[in-house]
Amino acid sequence: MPIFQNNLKRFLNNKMNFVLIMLIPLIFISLSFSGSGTQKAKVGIIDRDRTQLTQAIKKAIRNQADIAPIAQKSLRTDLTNNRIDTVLVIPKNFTRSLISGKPIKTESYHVQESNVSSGIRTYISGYLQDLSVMAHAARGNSTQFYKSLQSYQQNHLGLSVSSPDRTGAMRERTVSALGFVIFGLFMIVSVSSRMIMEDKRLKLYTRFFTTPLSVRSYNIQNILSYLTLSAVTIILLLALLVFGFHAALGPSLVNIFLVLLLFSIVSISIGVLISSVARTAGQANALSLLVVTPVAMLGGCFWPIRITPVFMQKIADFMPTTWGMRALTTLVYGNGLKDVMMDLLILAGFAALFFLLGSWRRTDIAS
Amino acid sequence: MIIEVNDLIKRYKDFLAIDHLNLTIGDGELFGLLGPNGAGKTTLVNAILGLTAVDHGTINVFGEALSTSERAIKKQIGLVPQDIAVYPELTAQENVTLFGKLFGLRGEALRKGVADALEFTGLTDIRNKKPSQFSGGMKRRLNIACAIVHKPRLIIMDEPTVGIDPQSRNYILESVKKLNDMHCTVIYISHYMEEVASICTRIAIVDKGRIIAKGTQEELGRLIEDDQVVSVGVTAPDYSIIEKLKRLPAVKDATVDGHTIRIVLSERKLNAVLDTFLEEDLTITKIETNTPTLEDVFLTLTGRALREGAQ
Repeated sequence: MPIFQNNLKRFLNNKMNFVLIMLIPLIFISLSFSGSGTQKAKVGIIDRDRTQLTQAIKKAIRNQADIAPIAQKSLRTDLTNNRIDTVLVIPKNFTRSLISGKPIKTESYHVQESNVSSGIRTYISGYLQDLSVMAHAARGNSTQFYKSLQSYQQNHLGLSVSSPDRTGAMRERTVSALGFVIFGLFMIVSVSSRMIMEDKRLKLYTRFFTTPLSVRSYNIQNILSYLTLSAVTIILLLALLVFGFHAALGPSLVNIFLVLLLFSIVSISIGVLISSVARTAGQANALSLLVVTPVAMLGGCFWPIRITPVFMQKIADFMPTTWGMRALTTLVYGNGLKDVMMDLLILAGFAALFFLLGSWRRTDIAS
Repeated sequence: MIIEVNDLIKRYKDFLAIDHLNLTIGDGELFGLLGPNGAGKTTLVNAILGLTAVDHGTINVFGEALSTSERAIKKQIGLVPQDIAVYPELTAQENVTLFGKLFGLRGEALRKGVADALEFTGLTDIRNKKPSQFSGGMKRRLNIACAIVHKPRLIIMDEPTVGIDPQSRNYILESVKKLNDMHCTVIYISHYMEEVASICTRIAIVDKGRIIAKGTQEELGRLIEDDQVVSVGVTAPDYSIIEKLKRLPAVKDATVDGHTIRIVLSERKLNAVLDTFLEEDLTITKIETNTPTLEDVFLTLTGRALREGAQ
């Protein structure tokens, strides 16, 4: 595998490659995890019961989130404008129903696509469930219930509160960081097309085929070398995310690795396509720049797609980065590979299409 | 036969790069392929190596068609391309090692092949330096080392001395002769006729995709042995005289080189030539008659100078 080995050597010899696929994502990943740690979800509470218990609920929520004032009439606007992440409506007679052991009903509102409030919603749900358990144990005795509540607040408040919110926020930050990992891997487009074009510029591409090396073997060795580089990059960046930033990467790190590796194959296929279209290394570089940054932006590597205009979200469906990000987000939020099968198939389709287009324009090696 | 080319045709759209070309090269020959730039020499080499698809004709290398045993054939060929095709970021030794591996060498055979190739080209002492630190001549020698690392049976050298100093050129020409002495068949492609004339045992002159003459240097010279080459020195050459000279029935060709006008005569009618000079009122400083060279053969056969393409 001389071409494979040689590519690895050339890659390691060129410091710019490290800057492109390791250093730039590293800087952005660090930014994803810095500063945003104290950011809390904004919760609006409409309290129609106004009892000692509902005050206690508000106090517990305040420990986990920022409570913002809200009116029923502006609820929808506040949610869609991201002024509020979630709204909890406590109905009249809530306290009486709870203590008497009747089923309790609260209303909650949030933007369906948003994950920002997932942590606090999980927390509120758990907190209300705990209250029900305490009410059941008090058998309708409100004094006994409030005694239990006081004890609960003293003993368990610190323990139970931090976990759900931290996980939710950490998942948000992890998805954001993975966007930059995808961006780094997308830079393989530039590295692979540049290295192939360099072979052509130096007339080595032609010279190689005066040896027993076949075009197919050259292509396979090239692809394998870039895939190896991608795999190493993924392992290093994931290790940094896990050990450096304690990122919440979902139940299976292997699944995240596999999705990123499949995305690398798409990047390599685009690199191969660019190197087959470009006439010079300069053209290849320009084309790579034209492709990488816009496709990364449209695909949600730098910010969530949901905050972009609708027409851009439609365009994003044609970007491989979109499907890579979708698969990663789904995995981070606790799902398995079978839940992202469609995303993976679409990514594989992109890779197949670009490889096909890249090998379509084969002419004489000499020309 | 090492190479047999039969009725080869290669077109690039409307341009006929190779035109019904036939060629045979025997084992152990140092064969010169002479022709101006664009004559079709490199296209012929590309066709021999399977780098370009041909439109018609057959090519056999070592008695076999390339399509039937490409890997086995290519293992026995070394190409020194016209361009210096090496990695500037790798050392000389790493470059030669890479090509050794591509030719299938491993272990001790690879180590010895690399050492021998570097030794042969005089690069052993600078084997750990990168080509970016090399002179033009050293780069050309590295280009050769990469082609001989596997000790090929056939070496094709495409303009291996372009753009280097005379000392390096001599070194390379001596190396070519040494390789041929080591029972290696060499195809030496050049538009420098003095190089081809000095080292090649047999020569083919290529023009417009065709072989217009082939043989030993003597055999080629005999093609125009009845011709006479006259060099006339003048103080101020007037280009209009070239046209007048070319109109004379005895003149095959006339060219200006500085203050000298070189004329190829098919008949020994020097008087008519000199009369033309007098009519033009040019002061003659010298008159020399020469034995026809390869350049004269080419001029006579094609009507143009070998270096025209280069200029």
